Amino acid sequence: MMDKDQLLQEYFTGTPLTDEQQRELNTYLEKDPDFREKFEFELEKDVKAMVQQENRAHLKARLQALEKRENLAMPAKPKPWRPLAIAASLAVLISLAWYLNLFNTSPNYFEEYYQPYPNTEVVITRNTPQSLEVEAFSAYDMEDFNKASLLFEQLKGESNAGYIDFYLGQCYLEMGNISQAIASLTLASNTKNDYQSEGTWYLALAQLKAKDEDHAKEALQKLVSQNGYKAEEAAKLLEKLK
Amino acid sequence: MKAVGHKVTLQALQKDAAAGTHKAFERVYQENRTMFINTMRSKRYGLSDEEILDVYQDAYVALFENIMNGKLTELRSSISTYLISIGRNMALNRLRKQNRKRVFEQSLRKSTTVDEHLDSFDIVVQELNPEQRQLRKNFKELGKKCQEILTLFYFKLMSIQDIIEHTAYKNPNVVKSQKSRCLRQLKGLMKIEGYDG
Repeated sequence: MMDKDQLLQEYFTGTPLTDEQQRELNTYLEKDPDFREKFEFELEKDVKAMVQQENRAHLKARLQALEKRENLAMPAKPKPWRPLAIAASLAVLISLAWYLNLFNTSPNYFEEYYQPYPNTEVVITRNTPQSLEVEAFSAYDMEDFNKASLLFEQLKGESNAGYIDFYLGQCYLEMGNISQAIASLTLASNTKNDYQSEGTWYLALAQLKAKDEDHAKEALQKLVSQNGYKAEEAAKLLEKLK
Repeated sequence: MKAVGHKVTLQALQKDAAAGTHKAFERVYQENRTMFINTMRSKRYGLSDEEILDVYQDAYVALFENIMNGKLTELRSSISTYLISIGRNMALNRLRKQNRKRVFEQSLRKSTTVDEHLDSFDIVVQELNPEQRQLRKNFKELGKKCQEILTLFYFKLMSIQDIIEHTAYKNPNVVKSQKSRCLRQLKGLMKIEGYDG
């Protein structure tokens, strides 16, 4: 006669039972509540695994049918770079920049004063444990501002750390996305956080870049009156704008 | 995409999951397909395009399953981030099984909060053992009603209370006896006489 547990195990791994084992199993199920409980527990586990598999297969088959019905193609692999095409677009960009500068007579204070703000928030070493925050700042350190901005945006949904809007603003400035930079820096400048006056300074610069001198002056005034970060520069710049 | 967009997408998928429809299910699949394939290509796991597509389908089904069974009720990131995280786990599991590539611990390191969120999900795709395969064969022979009630319990992980709230079943005793009857039928097909559910 077989050990009860062994019998259970054989049954649930799908080993074919002999007639005698089958009879034993039936007897235990009928007469041994403890055995029956174990059996039910195992059976439910297997039913669950099986029902899961079955339903997953259905859903997957639906996706495969969708692939066929819509005739979905694999996306094209990235093309090797073509020097001529790139040279041509560069030429267009350069002449455009030259054209714009030609008619731009007001002094370019943004370029004069703007310096990217370094990551002073998170020190990243080889042993720093990974997190969304660390990923965002490593992208920032690597000057991948596009990636950094996406990660900071994502972080914003998960954390209310005071620095996020400020660094988001930095990313957008670097990306040349001035309207979004202004939006983020306005938030940084208006909420109490470690980067509040820094945020105000960069907000002023962003507004100058957007040729919105009135708002830029307002922000600079605020810096001067608070006598905080870059207050001296702010005062000088205000003089020049008069 | 803004968080609001994610929320709308999740709600649309939840609606499909509850109603048994597939409109958002198919749309969101198509919306994320190119992104997923290109990301997996760029990871250089050494998977062919066919394998990547297969992984995408498994990952997408897993995401939908966890919306159906209520383990994913709010997003901590975009749907695409979830798909990539699930897909990465599945791809690495495949490679490990096939011994095709040494999978470094580093690549398994949890890098985002999404990965931690995934710990609570059902995403493991396991091969069925012979007994489970026999069960599956028998399951296909059950009537529609039985397949449905077992799916509610074991795939959508609904409690009796959930079932009463969300389906046409209105009486807990009917639900219980229906489930027992269906398990008994499965058992009957397994030729176990002493077991009556």
